[in-house]
Amino acid sequence: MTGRARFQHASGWVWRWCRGSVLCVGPDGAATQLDGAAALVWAAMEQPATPAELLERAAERWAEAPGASEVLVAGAVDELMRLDMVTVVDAP
Amino acid sequence: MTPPASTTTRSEADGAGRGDRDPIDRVLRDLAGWGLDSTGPIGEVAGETPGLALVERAVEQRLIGVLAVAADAGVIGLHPKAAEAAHDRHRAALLWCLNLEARLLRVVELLDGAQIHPLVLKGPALAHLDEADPSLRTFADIDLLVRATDLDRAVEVLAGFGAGRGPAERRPGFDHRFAKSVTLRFADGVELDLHRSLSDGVHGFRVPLARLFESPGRLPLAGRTLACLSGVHRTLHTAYHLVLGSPAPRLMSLRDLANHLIQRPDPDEVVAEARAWGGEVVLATAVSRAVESLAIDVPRWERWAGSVRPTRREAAIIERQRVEGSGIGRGKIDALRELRSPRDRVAYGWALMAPTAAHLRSRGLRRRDLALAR
Repeated sequence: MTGRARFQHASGWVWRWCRGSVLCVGPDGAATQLDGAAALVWAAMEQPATPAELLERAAERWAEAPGASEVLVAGAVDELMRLDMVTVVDAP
Repeated sequence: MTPPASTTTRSEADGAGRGDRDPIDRVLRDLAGWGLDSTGPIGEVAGETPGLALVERAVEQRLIGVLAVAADAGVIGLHPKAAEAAHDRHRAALLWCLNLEARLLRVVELLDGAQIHPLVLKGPALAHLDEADPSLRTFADIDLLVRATDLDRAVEVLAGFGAGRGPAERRPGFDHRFAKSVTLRFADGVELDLHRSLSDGVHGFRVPLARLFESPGRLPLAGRTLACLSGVHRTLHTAYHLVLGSPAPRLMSLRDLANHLIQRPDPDEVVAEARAWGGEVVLATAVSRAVESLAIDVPRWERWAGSVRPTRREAAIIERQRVEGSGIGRGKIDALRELRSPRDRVAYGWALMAPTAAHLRSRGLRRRDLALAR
């Protein structure tokens, strides 16, 4: 994950907050639940964002969140990419 | 319902009763206004049975999102089993909403491909554009407005995608000339209302439909932007839905309108549009109902609604439409009178009196049943 790459939701995913977790349904209709750092990072990714911006947004909106650290953000992005829920834009 | 003897509410404590005898009704009303202009405590519903009853009623009234979020925020005290039930029901409702939104994206894509460009109505637009958090506003189906000239083709396109229609068309040409909407159902239970207009009857015929498409709103969803009603049109539509949509509207409908009135404290723009729709009395009736029921603080709206003097005829038309809905009754004679063209009047009247055999069969009726009903 490079520092200048910007991440955003892959097209076709709809989602809602539900009691601290994120419920998502993908283009194929399958549902996924994201918890902890993955949920925070997903919500922070509504607009394209670099890892630093994701960290900032997560920390800003959920100051009490335990997931707002660089390592956890990177891990969450990796997890979301593995689930095909993220696209990379403006990669250098 | 179990007698809610152990239920205590803020309304009881401060004497702000608004005609509800059942304490659970009062809690539901407080929930309907919660998070709009007040985020104060609602109180406690002590005991498992009253708590579970509240959850069921909140589901019926489409307030399960507000209840679950309010319970999480600690502004309403619930028995642990009731709190768990509220969150389970909320989660299920949200998953259904997401399923509907995924379908909405696909349906709009298909219609766009056929050069039919719909406007999203109600649930998804209100949830994303008007509520503080879309999780608060759940919905059960999809509503799209299409131009009357596109309605029949839209039904065909969606039939090719597995959507079956409910009752057959009343008479050939009835849908695109006179119907409020055509209901389609998918095999998995998803229901889609394809609207020609925003209301049944007189007021549905009065809506200048072309204006809705001239200045649409924008609904960002899943990386795409869908067209929906503009903010002013959404305000009016919520008012129409509250007054004309059902004899017993859900509290969610009150909340929808109250939210719009609070967010748009100056009535001028909406009132001007209501005049263009021939719907000032509908709007004033809706505003008065929201203010009385939810005790919201919208002084300019209250003053305006208080200044509207409905004629006896207009009040009667609204009342008949409210009670009859899409059923057949005196309100349909009002609607027939509203039509300007003699040709339309004849076609509409004939369709009311003589629906096709296919239409009757699709509704499980026989011609003899109609004669008996008359």
